[in-house]
Amino acid sequence: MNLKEQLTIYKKMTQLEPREAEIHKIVSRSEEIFFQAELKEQLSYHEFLWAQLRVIQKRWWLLQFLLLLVLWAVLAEGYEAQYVQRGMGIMASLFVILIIPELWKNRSNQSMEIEAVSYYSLRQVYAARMLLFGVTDIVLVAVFCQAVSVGLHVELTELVVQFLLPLSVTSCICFGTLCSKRYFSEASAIALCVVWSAVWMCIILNENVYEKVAFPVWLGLLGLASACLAAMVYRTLKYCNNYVEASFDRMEVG
Amino acid sequence: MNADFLMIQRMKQGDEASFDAFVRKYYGEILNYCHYRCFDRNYAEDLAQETFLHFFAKLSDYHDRGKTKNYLYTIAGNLCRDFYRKKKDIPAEHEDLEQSAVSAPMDRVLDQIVVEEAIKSLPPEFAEVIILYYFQDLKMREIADVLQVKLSLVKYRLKRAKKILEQRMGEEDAYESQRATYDL
Repeated sequence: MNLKEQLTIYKKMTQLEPREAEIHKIVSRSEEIFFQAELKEQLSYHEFLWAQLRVIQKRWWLLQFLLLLVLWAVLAEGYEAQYVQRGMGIMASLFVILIIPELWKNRSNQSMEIEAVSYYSLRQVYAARMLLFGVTDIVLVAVFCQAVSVGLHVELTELVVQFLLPLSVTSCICFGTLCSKRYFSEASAIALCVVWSAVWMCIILNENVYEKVAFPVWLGLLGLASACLAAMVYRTLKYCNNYVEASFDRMEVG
Repeated sequence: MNADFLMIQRMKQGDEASFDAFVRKYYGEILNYCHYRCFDRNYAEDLAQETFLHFFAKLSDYHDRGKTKNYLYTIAGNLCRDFYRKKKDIPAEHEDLEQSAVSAPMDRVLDQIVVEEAIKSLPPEFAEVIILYYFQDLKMREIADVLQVKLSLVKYRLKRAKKILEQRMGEEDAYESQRATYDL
């Protein structure tokens, strides 16, 4: 008998069968040890938001800021009302379009499956990102509106109708297409935004329509668009785990 | 994405079924490895348990690169080395051999003792390679990864260990046949 055969026989004779009780003991102790270790390493809300903020590319916020500066310049130049109205509508759409690459970058990079199995759920990651984008954009737009109404004496009602309303509708389009259950590319979302801009310009440049619609109606439309946006955001958070190729709960572990 | 990657990520999310699946997947191998290193079922079970507890204590920082099994072997190997250092003064027990003696024929038990003694007589780094290669069926590259040494060193150790084992087991066989002749 050669060495290999002797060792094979020895292996067969001494092979141990795991005891079920031992396995159970190890599983429960392992869970215990893991959860204890996790408790020590738990991130606070602030730390989690800070971690998310670090991975967001800030250049899109810079571009949004520059866009508002351009709009400021257009308003300050005192162009004809028609041009100003067109400019505001287009800028509002662009302002929202600029967050598409960053907020939905996991989609374009096809990394949603990876994020879905990360320690924090996709819902938490999305919520943090939307919160950060939402807070920054609200601050940017609020400061802009305040500065424009005080500095350039543009009426707030005009800003609401010509800037905030198209901005809200564009946001609805982006969330509606990019967070829908069916797959839509960023290009299709942008195309829909452009179509919306065209429709908006047709409405706003048509004096017959624009003059007839009273301010409370515009305000109501803004409220409706905001409610739609809130519903879209809620839907995104509720169904974000279903965007991966298969539902995460149905993934099998071999 | 391989199964281990998914399983580890799900464990990180606290999925209890994945803990169970993971332990079941690797426990047998690690238990047997520890057994070949310490030759005692109870110690082997303790060492295997310690291996998993060490792994899970650092799970949050662990990033799967497709070598989870090798990582578990590395932890188990380190624990077995520590165990050896502590155990040097404690006299060896042969509980497993006693159990084998009840169930297996006498010559098989003697063969088992011969192999066991030959492995014990090897320098620890040689014994480690023999166990991983012949009993755990790891490839040489995997052994190099587990022991964190170069592949050439694994090849050298395996060659030397085989030579020593053949020599020792040959001596034992010669001694046994000589004894059998005298008895006749």
